[in-house]
Amino acid sequence: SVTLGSCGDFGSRKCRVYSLSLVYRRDFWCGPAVGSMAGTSDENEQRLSADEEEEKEVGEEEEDDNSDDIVDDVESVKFNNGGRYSIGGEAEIILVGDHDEKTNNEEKTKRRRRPNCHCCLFCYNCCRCKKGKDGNDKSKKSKNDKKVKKQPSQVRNMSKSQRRKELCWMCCKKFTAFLFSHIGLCGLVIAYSIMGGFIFMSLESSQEMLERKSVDLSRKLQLERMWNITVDTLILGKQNWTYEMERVLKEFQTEIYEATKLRGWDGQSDTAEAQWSFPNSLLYSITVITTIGYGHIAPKTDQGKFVTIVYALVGIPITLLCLTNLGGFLGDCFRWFYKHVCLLTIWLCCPSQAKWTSERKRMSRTLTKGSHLPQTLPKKGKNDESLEKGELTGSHEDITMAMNAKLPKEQVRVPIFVSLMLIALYIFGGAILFSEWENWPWLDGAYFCFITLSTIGFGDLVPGMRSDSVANQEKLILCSFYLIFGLAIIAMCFDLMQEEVRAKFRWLGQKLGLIESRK
Amino acid sequence: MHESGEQRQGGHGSCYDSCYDCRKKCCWFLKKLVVFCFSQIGIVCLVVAYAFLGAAIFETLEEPKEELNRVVVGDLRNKSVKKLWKLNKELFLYEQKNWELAVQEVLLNFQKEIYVAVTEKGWDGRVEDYTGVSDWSFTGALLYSVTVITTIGYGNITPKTTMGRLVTILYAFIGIPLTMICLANVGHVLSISFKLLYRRLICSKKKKESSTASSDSSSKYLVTNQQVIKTETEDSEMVVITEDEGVKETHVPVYVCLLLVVAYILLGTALFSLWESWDPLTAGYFCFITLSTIGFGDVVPGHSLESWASQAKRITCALYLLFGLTLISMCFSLLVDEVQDKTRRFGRWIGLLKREGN
Repeated sequence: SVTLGSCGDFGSRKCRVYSLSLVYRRDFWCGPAVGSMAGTSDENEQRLSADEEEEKEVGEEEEDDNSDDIVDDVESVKFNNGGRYSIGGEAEIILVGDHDEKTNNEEKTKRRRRPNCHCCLFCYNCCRCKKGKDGNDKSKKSKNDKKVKKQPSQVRNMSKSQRRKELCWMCCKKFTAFLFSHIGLCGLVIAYSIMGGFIFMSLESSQEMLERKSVDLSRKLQLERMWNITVDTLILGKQNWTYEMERVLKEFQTEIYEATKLRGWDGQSDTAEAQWSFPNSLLYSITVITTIGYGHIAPKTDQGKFVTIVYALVGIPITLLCLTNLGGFLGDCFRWFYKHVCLLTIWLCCPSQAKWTSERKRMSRTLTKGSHLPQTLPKKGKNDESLEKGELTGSHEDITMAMNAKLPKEQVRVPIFVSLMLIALYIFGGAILFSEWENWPWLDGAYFCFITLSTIGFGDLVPGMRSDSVANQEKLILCSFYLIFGLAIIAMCFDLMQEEVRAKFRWLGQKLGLIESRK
Repeated sequence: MHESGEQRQGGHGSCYDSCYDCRKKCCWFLKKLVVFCFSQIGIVCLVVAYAFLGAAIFETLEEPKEELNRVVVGDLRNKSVKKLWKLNKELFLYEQKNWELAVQEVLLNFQKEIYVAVTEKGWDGRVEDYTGVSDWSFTGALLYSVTVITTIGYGNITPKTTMGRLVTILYAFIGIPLTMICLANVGHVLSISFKLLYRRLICSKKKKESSTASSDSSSKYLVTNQQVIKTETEDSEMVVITEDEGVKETHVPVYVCLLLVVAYILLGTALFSLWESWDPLTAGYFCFITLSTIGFGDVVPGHSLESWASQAKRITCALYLLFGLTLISMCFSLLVDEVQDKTRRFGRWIGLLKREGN
């Protein structure tokens, strides 16, 4: 627990306002805008939360109409009294005292404080951070960034109706930003892969025709040789003729091997449809940018190889970004869905077990009213309620807590086995589909799906690449879709599993004594 | 007697004690082992051991099949020759056109079968009396295991047996997270050391700056893990900076990391183009495709006339691969902050993010 001392603790300094900034250490965010606080499942843990009105003065009779909601962006919360408060989860709390006495008077009149510098947490007069200097300015790249943050200075002085309008407008902005970011990225990736399909098709299709022709040619040459051998050596007896023929065939088989493995021959004559058709090139581009890399077709021309390198350099980061975003978004959707399914089952099974709702209400009580504070938070000492206004020297005893934290809205934890089940289901579904369509054994279908989705991508089994299969182009397109959706689902499962896995590792570490258990 | 009785009792007691001690020691030792396994070095050793284990497993599973394939292809060839002989006997008049037509068909058939043998059965292109190092030797299987657990997945050799494929799935399922954790850990450790090195080399001035940056006219309470550490000052300013804040503050610029990676790719290019007599573009293409974990497998080192050379090449390839991925992981660790910062700025610039209230 934290003890916010009285001003006396700061020595001779007269302290006015204490800012309590919650810094979530792992996200390296140094400013008041922080990532979410990780909560544990400890029921006794209280979370600090506040409503959306910043710096609500204690003593005002303003009605708190958002008292029962846990809010997203919280700017600040004021404490009336000093005392012990407990913060849930991992939090690094840096209390910054306001030091300058000169500003006391102006602030006294305005009754509001300039926010602290977001970089070093000192107030503006003292901080040395320059704008744009990237010294401590680190942030968690997450969808939190993409959501619009409220401007404390703007929102602070507006009336309630204006504030509502502002909120609406911000909601709209959030929505457009979301649209642009998620869907825009997906569209970008799709456009990029289509473009890649066209590029590679134009670069490589001529080469493969050449290759096919060369194999045909070599076969004709072997034929000629065989004729000559037949004419020459048949009279000498079966033995010699057989020996010569074997030699010819050995050479022929080596040539076929080399043509297939090294020069990318696809086993077809030059009258068949091209290997580097558009669907196949599209699949190739997708395997490049998702780093699966089948290799069932690979560029043989120099330009093709060079373009592949450049294409991959640009495409891989974009795809990773898109998949991360998509994973986060899908993870949120799934959590919402999972929560409601769970609720439904709970409601169906035991309607009386609605205790989580009461818990939620309890946790979301605001702290702006001073009398509420000791009730909602655990007391772990003697001097919480006893600290009263009078004990704090100085004329302003407001302790403002700037907490721009994104409090997790009842963060639903999806258990690991659910995520794994999802992936397994997808693999099995794909296995059944492909083994049916390609007449593979079922294990081969599962093997193909697993190798694809884990981005290993051997390329020994690819739908539509057998010489005797039909409807090749459609199969390739379907394979591309399967691939993309599968990777999106895997990204979603990563997002779902992250917290759980981290918690489990922490538990394991504590059990092994690697990490000291915190008490 | 009495003494011996006592001795016996004492003996029993000490025996019991020693057993208890033994057990305690065992438990302690086991615990230490497990803790070591989870440490940095332990994880690296674990991954290496896992790769070797995989190599042994896959060699036993797949090498017989490879030899079988060679025999099968030899049989195919013999069959074709027999067919041709029969044709010869039937075509009394060796009219070239007729003969050619008939033989062409046989040859085409042979070609198709060979193609199927190469692509679906995994024939390695060698004759049936080959005695050298096969593709699924220990080193080949080692390279295969490494490509599986790093998700590169060349595909130049792939398991063709049912058991091999099943084992690959399980092996990858466990090995990929293990390798990712190992790479992330090692990359993180390397990035810290690299930061220190970089700081020492270049940024000695910055060190002095950063230590005075936060000293200011206020005292701070630094709270970590719900413990209050009071840093009170009397008159002067003092600020407690967290331990590794100095290291955290060091920013290695992006171009340094990129330079490292490019240098490594060039090194690989030089090495492989000399050793495998590839042209430089192919070698560079191979290195890039490997390090980006795309891993087509159309060009892979390891083909040589001497068996020791091909084994050495495969091991070199595996080592190059692992070190390269470690390097890339280190660059990720170094760059993550920079990239986030720049992305944020970019997001602000294009209007996705609202400007912070500065």
